[in-house]
Amino acid sequence: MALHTLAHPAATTEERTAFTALMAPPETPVSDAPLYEPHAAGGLLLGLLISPPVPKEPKDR
Amino acid sequence: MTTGGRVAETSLAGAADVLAGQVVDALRGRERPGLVAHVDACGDRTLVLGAVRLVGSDLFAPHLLTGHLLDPGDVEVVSDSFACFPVVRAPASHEQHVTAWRDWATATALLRLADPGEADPGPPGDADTVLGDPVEWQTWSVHVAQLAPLALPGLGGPVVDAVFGQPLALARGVTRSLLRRDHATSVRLARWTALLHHDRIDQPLDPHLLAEHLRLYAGTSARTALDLAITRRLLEAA
Repeated sequence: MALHTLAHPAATTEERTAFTALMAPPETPVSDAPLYEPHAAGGLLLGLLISPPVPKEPKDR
Repeated sequence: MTTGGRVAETSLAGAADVLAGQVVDALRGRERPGLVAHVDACGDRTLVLGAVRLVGSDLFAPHLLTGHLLDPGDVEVVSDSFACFPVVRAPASHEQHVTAWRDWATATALLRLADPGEADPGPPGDADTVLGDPVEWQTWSVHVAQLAPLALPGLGGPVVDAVFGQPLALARGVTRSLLRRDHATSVRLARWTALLHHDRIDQPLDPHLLAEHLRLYAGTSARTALDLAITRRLLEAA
């Protein structure tokens, strides 16, 4: 009986799946993109209200 | 994905990066081993043939952009890579459609270099199926970035025609990727802006400024260096 051997290696299922994933790289899922913050105005106002007052010049000088 | 799958993906990506680095060397006129010597020197033949398929048509960027001559052995290596990772005959998922188009680009580039008189292989589908609707430019531009290996001079085809018809959607996609600091996508899209410039198509972005910005910020991986080297060559040839 003739023995038939493959001339080329065949990729495994895992290698094929990895190959297909690398062929179509997605967008980077996490980025430092500036995002809209709807409550940022409130936080800014609160910061202004609780911030310490401007120091005054001493009068007895 | 399983651990084995992750290992396979990391190994393939690494092998493709090594090969991409060699194409960069060729584009810069440096001494490098040929594709056949590179494949023979690699211990894992499946891995290196997968890398050949991943780099795909970009293997022939030095031939298309700087007049390198095709080594007859290259045809055999690419043929082996198609045998090792079989071609998807009836693409169903988006990833399979992208793979089919990138394989088409590799086959077309190789055929034109090896036998200029031969007719090109037929495209694997229509451009809208793989790119989507340009009105949804966020998704459309990501798909265009995935098909960056088609942004080579003289390759042409339905996808190139579709991108040439949408310079505004492309510019929006570039801007979005820059704002997201997704430099990998930006670099891939920069190739398309350079190809538009090469073919004298008006666009809202300056591709020279974009290329310079990405040279400074996009990192130093071999894959990024290859995309930027092709972008530069396209801009210089315009």
